[in-house]
Amino acid sequence: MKQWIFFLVVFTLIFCCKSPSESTIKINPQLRDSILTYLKKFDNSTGKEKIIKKAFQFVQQIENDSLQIKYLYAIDYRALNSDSKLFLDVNGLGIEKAKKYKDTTFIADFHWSLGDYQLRNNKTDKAYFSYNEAQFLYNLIGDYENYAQMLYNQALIQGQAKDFTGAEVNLIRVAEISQQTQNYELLYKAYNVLGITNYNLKNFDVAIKYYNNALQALGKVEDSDLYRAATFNNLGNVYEKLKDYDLAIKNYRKIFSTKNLYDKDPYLYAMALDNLAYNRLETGELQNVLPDMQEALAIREKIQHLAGISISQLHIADYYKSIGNTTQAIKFAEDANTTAKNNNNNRDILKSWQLLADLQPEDSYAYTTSYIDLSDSLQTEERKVRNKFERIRFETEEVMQRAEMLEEERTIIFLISSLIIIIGSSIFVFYIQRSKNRSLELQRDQKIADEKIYELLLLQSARKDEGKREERDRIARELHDNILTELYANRMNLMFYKYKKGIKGDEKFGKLTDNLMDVEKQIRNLSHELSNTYFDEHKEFGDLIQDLLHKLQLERTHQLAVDDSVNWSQIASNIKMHSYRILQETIMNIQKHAEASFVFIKFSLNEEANEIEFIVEDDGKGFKDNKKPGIGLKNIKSRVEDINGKICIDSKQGSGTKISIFIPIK
Amino acid sequence: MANYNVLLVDDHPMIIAGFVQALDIIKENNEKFDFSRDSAVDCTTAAELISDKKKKFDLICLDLSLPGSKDGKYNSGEDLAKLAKKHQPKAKLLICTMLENNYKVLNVMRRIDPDGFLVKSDTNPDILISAIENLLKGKTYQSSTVHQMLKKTIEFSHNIDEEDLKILFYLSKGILTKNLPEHLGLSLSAVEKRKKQMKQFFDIPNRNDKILLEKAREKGFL
Repeated sequence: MKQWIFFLVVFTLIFCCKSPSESTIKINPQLRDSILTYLKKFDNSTGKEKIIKKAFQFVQQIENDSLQIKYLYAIDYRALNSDSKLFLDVNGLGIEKAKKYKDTTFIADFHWSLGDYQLRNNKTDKAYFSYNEAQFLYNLIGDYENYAQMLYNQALIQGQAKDFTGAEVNLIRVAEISQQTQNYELLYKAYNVLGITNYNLKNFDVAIKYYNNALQALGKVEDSDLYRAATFNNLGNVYEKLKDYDLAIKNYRKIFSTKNLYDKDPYLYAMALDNLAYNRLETGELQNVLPDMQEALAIREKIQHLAGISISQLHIADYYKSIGNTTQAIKFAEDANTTAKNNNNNRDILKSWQLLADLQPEDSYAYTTSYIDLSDSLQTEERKVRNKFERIRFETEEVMQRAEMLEEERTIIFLISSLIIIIGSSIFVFYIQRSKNRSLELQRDQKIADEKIYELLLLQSARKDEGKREERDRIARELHDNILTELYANRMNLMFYKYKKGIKGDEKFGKLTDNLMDVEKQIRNLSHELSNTYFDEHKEFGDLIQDLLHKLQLERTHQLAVDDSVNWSQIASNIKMHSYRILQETIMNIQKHAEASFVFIKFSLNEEANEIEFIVEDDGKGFKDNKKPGIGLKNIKSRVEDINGKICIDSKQGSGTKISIFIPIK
Repeated sequence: MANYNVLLVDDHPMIIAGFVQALDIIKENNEKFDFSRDSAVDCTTAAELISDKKKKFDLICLDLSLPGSKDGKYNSGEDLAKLAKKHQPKAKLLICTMLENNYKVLNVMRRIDPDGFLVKSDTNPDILISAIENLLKGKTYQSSTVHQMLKKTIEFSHNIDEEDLKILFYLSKGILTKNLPEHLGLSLSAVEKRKKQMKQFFDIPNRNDKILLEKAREKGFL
């Protein structure tokens, strides 16, 4: 299991390193050129759909995923304005490829344009869902600018569906992020929509505060005239609702300070004109009210602003109502009702019904019933949509939680695997250290063992000598004290016997006793020699060397000359031990490889330099200098190092080898 | 007619018998001599006899290697000789021993200075008889080996003292110079100094102990 995790980590690392290199794959240049040409054509000309279909066909031929995604996206936002089937094809393929290629940014981008597409087709819930996907992904990859944009889009949809609370939550988040990213335009938009939302929630004071914030944010935005105008309009709406018509009028008037407003934004111009006229009507001012309202209506009809038309018609109906022209009022109210119905503009349907009910008390019941039915169904509808949003948001949260869990799991896996790696490497280091220590210990043990062996050798030799000496002593004493005395006593008595018996003339007898005396002398000399040869026998290290040469049977195969003039009893035992081993090694080398016939071994003491010169020379075949030293030679060198000596190997092929070692003594 | 009290000490009855025969032969040859004999085969009896105040010995024949006394006081003829010098000052001493080495002979000559010194293997009845006769006449006697040895050492004997002899002796036993102080009660430097001196006397190169010992043996110190 641990191993598995380890491999997982390693593989992840490998793949992470590998993937970028794939992007360098070449693409057929012709294909690229034709796509680019079509895209250019599309941007410049009409008859777009054919061109974009062609481009799509070419893009599908691209084999490289990352490039295909890039081109798909280029086509995708262009196809947004054209054939819906084509757009869905392009977008679907784009999302599929981007998911396959795990390019989160493009997945999010495709979702964004899909959201735009759905919104355009009034499928607000689907749009909300797409924006939600995009928002989640942008947040995941840390693209906060786009994340805020998506939240804003969602908030707009929520606002439309009267999910004001949800919208407000999202907008506040947008405001926070855009403040951080210093995107003041988006900040303005967020404050502005927050104002609208609170207006719709009837939190008018809060709405005013937000609008002021929005105006403040505009201070840092270029070309902010239209935005400012729109916010003034919104402010006017708030004051209108507060029935503070003077302030409302003041704000509406500010809109007209914008230069060329009509050219820039006829919607806003008409709206402002209409609103101003309506407020003036509310303050009781009638001058130029109707012409202004009619002008606004004309503009709105001209630009087909359906929601505006119904409002204008309602306002005009109000005007006629206030001047008592009920017929005209009813006519405009009914027009407004029709327009609103065509436009599914429930707000204005309700308003028109309310107005009609006021204008025609006899029919008020029918209108009121319709009004109540509609408003009920609207509320249900709104609740449904809100629930849907809520569900989408909940699902996203769930996904996010899962992602967080995955993230946590990944962190834990990473932590565990790095812990395992650390532990593993420390165990590895520990083992290396231990084996090093062990080898050091072994070396030390080897050294101790070497010294012990040498000591044993010495001891053995000494014991051997001791035994020899004891035995010799015993024999000498036996000969001297017993045999010789016995022999002497007997000879003496024999002689006296001869004396007494007077057989002096018997020469044979005299010879025999004289012979006995000779035997006595010989025995005495033998005994003497036996007990007097100790010094010659006891040579200590020189003895060991002789023993070694004898044991290796060098004399049998080689002519041997040994010159040992060192008084070894003065030399430290480790030097003797190493010298012994070096000699053993060199002789074995000579016997194995040198094919020599003559060997010269010399130990001498250089008293001036205070060092022992140890030379082993042979007349064998020698070896090349550049030859790798064998174990034997390495051992010799390490031994020489151990006793701080110097070694000089003089060898040429065919002319023998001379190993000179200089060992310092203290 | 003179009666001589003789003490014969040897661990070997056969040798005592030899001495007795020699005394008998002297008595036969010369009517003037008469002997009364005591004999001992070990140090204990010998020491008792020597220290007996009633006894007045004229001649004491001693072997050097004898079984020691039970009290451990006397372990060799040498110890008995010292005792005899004390208790029997008038007695003539005849050492008759198996010669082990020159060193021992030299030591005995230096310490006891006996009137007669025989090496057993040199002797035959004539030598034994003449030695006894000589001693009884107040002369000294040395058998040929002893005589030659003393002649050899005479050249250096005034230079080589007892400690030097010990050094040579131990060296010949194979004891290392560095261990000599344990055996001698001398410091190592003193030992080295003496060795150096001896080498100078013998006129041999400084370093080689082997040659020193060879020379010492040649000159009769070993």
